Amino acid sequence: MIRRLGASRAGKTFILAIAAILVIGTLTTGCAKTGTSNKGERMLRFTAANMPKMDPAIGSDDAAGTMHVNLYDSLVFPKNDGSVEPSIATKWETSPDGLVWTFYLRQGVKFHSGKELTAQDVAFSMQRLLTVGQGWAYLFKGRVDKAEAIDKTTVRFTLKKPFGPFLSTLVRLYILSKDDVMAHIQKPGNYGDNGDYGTQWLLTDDAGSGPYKVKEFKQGESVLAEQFKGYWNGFKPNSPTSIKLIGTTEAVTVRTLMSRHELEISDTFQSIEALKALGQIPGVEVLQYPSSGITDLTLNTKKPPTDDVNFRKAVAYAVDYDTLVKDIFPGNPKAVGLVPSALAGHNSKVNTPTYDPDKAKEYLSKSKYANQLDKYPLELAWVAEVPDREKIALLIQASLAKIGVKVNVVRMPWASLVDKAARPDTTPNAAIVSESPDYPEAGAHLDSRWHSRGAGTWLQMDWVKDPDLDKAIEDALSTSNWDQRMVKYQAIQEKLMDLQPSVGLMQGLTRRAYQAAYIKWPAAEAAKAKQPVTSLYGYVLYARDIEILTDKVPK
Amino acid sequence: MTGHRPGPFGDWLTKKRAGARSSEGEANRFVGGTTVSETAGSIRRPLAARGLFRTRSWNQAPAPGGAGRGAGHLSGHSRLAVAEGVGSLLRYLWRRLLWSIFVLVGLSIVIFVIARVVPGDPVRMALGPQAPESVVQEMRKAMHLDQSLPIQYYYWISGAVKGDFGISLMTRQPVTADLKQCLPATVELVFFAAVVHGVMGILLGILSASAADSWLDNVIRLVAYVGVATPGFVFAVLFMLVFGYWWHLLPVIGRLGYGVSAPPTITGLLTVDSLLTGNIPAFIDAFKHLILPGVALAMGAMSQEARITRASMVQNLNKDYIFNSFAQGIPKSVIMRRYLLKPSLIPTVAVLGLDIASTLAGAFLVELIFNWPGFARYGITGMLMKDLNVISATVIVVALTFVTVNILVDIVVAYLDPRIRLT
Repeated sequence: MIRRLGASRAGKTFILAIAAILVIGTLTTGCAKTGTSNKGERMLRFTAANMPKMDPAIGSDDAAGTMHVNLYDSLVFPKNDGSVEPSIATKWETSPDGLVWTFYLRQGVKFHSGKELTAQDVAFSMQRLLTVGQGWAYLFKGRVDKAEAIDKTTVRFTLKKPFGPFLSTLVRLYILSKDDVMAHIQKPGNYGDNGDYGTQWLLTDDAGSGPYKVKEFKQGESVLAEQFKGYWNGFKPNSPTSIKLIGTTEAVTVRTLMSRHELEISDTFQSIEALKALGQIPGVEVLQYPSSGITDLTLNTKKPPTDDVNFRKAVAYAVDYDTLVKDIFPGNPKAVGLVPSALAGHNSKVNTPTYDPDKAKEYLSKSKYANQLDKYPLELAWVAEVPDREKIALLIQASLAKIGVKVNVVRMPWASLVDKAARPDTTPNAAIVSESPDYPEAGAHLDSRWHSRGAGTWLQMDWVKDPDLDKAIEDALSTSNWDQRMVKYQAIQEKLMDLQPSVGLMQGLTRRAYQAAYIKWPAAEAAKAKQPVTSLYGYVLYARDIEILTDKVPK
Repeated sequence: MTGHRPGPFGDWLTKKRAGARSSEGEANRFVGGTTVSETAGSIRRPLAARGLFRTRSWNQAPAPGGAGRGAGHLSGHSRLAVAEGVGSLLRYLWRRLLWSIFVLVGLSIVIFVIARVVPGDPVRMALGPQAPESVVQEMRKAMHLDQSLPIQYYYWISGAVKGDFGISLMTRQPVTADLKQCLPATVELVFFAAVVHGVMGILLGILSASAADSWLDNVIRLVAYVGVATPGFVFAVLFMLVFGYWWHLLPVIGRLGYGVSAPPTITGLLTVDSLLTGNIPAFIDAFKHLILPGVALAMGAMSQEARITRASMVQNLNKDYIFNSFAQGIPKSVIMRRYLLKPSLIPTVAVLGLDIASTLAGAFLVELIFNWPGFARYGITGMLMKDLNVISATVIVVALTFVTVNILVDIVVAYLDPRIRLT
């Protein structure tokens, strides 16, 4: 048998070692620095789902959009009600046919490099965006024929065909310094004489004139930007001196950072449960405001049994919407129609199905699959990376079971769903998706969701591909007159409800936790006052308008 | 010296003395997961060859010419053994190298094909649903995705052998440039974790074995059980809760705090670079940032190594050569350090190497929780985004790590246990 080699002595050694580690640890670590600032600095930190692609010609997601609005200026700036106001352009005019747009620029605007912003830079930014073709380019590609500098402060865009929302889309034309970009091109590249067009450099730096300039980019970790002292529009007394995007949405990390006052505003990916926990941290509040997004159930119109309009209508009337918006996602308004209600041109009077099992059964009886439901179970996919969607899927499964429709709920990784959405025969009968348009008009949503040119992507899993609908959307988008355009948008929404290619489930509701004790955030104030909050992602975190009250940071 | 003496080994020695002769026979022993057939003599020979025993081994035949006594004989024998050893080591390394190349090429083909046949259009995913089809096609062409798989592989492997793994769809930067940034972060983390689990695991194992069956041993064993059974990310969450959320003792995200100037990049390891450049504040800050993720990552391996070290030491304690050492009156500390610990570390070292490689592969969740800009997070995110070049490159790097570590472990184990020949 083994004998102990001296338990008491070893025990003493062990205890002494642990004590030594604790003492050394305490001495070497001390207290971690918490709070918002170093010696009067005011840092605004927010989390995001991923690191941003900071080149406006490359990135266009939420993280990228947030950095773009802070690093760059645009000709016009979006207002909360969906209209735009002058920014770098002080005024503009358009030709009677709506094809030529002329913008007059503000003088004396400087880029972060100190160079002056001119019409040449604006024309260059549009040309570069169209050439690279990624990021925000899809808003302009195929629509803008040319961009030219008339003189130092006048720029002219010529469109290929009239595009009514052109002015609204210009909030996404971020202006880069031509000289700075061309000084950083790498050759050879994909763009001939322009080499890589500065794409490598602009992923980690900026060439903008916005209120903040990039100080440090740490791949996979964070981006730090500091105030640009020469910003033409100045700052508020308590505007952040620097902003930091932290590339994580991990609930435990966000909660810890919030509790230490090392994070001011959370991302929008926190679950309801995580937000509840965040709201319990002293000084932290959870803000919720309507977003421009909508969550809907796409129905594949090219695959049985959802190829039958009566079957689709039966589904629309069978969903228990009240349970969805009251119990599962409290606060989210029920969708009205198929277009987000925050967008200009939304038709609030469109006939929207409500929970009515009798009516659902009535439609089902008219369906060609009425007597063979057991042969046609409905495949319902939800995106595996968004766990909250499973709750919706299970609710729909239970709702449809009441009218005799069997639903196979399928948890599908995003990559698989994107792949399956490429063909009508592989696209699931039904899928739960959310979408936010990039400019605040109903046309943006109608175009991306139902114009045939987008078929084969996850945005069009209903596979409508209706030439008449295409024409109607194109006609509306090419209408320069605002009122007439809005009327056309509303008519299209009525036609859509007849087709029922999707079921509008709920309006988007953005939820973020923030340090209400020491952050003065216009979006929060507007939401509390029941006023509209900007519906464009990125702009809600326009840091120049946010104030940090350092004296109110809890000790 | 060999008489009955009081102390912790008294009873044990009495029992062993009675059965000493019978224990010289062949016995199958299970050491560190390997059954070996050994005799008392076969244990003593290597010890004698290394000068651990000054007297002639029991089974050692007198050398021809009467030169079989003392250091002179042993020295000649050693020179021959060393020459043979070096030769066999080189042959072994050569064979392993060839085999490793074969493994890496095979693996690169397998992972290349798998990454491309799983569902999901990587370019469409990267560019978004609204990107014009013409742009999507241009990028497919630029990435050779419009070609057949063998042609794609040709392009990829041609670049890879030159260190060019292509462009990442996720970051839009060359994968090699991304690896240069994220690999040192993980190497630093894994190295720190390796030091923690290597040192602490062995120390706890020794402590546990030294106090076998005591309260201390039981506590360590219990903690080790929990440590082995608990995934690293649970420790990560726990540490973040205790040291970040409740006590605010340590930084919880990133590699360096705000306002601390980063040292110039030499190795990419912030602690090393800050020391090399004499930037002590940066070293202290970088070290603080390492503690929570590093220890969380080390916990599982540390527990395993503590258990293995303890088991191995306790088993070896029963062996004849240890009995003989005590019988010769060699001090306990010397026996523990020189005769017991070294052979007992063989299984630990074997596991240690694999643990280091596994730590690299398993660091993903820990890096995610601590927002550590490391290689594991980069690789897994690339897999989720179906970033083909990232997937292939990271798998190759992990494979290369495993292969290298395995070879190193074999060499170290061979050094520790001369019975193991590198053939």
